[in-house]
Amino acid sequence: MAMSEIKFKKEIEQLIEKRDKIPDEFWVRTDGGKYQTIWFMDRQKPSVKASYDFDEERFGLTKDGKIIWGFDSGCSCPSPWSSSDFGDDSYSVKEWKEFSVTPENAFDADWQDECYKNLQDYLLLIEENLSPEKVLTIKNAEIRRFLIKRVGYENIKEKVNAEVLHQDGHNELLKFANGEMYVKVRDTSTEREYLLFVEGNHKTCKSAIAWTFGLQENEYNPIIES
Amino acid sequence: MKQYRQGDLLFIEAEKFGEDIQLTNSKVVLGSSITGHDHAITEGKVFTHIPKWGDNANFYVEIPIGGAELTHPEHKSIPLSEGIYKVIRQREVNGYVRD
Repeated sequence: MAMSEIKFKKEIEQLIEKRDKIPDEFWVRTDGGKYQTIWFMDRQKPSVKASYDFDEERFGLTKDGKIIWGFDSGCSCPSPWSSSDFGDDSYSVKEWKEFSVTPENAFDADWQDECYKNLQDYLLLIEENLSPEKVLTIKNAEIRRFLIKRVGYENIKEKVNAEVLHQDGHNELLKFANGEMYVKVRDTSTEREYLLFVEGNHKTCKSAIAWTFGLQENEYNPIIES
Repeated sequence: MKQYRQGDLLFIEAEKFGEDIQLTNSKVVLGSSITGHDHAITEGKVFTHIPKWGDNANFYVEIPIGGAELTHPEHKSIPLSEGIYKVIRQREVNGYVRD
């Protein structure tokens, strides 16, 4: 068994053991409400379902501590499972101890890499004494948003010596001592606040927000925002 | 060209489709594995598109005569009139996107 595989297994086991610490909002009802699941990997986006067979792969954890995986029979990745393993619902739920084949040896390198990175974000949800700097390394913006609230936005700003370059309502453009630039935005419907890592030399919040959509400041003018 | 934003998606009116689009069999534009919530249109067609130089759309949608609503469980619905829209998903450095 490769070292990375051992590490992967250890981390999954750690997450299973402390899964009660994962907030309710991250457990998604799946397969008609049959399972409450977090997905380390979920490429099953309905919008691309018809186009790319490799978008069917899923791998995650159920709230009762079981590993769940599945993929469509059209999957082109090397796989130890046949589609018949999944019955009609395309999922297989296993106890971790039965799970002898991991994504480490079942799927392609890109899939493994992405799956592993996503797992790291979930591990931070159960970590005690999380540092403000560590929160900024979280890849998933929803998990980052949740943990920024827990650690404290002002606390993070102080720890990384953030300079506020521009304010526009609840939005703030920040430059950290290391040169990184972030824009804090508030979702108008949910009032959730996100800290987004942006590139470029922005002077206004609008310029940074426009960049997140690949546009220049003067090109970004939504007439309705919800 | 009119723009509409719902959460992490920006819809921009377009005169024509981008190249290499693929029709999906769904009215869901984008789903989330974290929240389980979908951005969807009530009528029309959704196409995938791989962003490329000169056209950074992630999706295209076609809204029929009579219009449609853009829906999401956590966001107010937005009415879309007949036409073609390019859809851009919000991103961060290193290609990270809100999920």
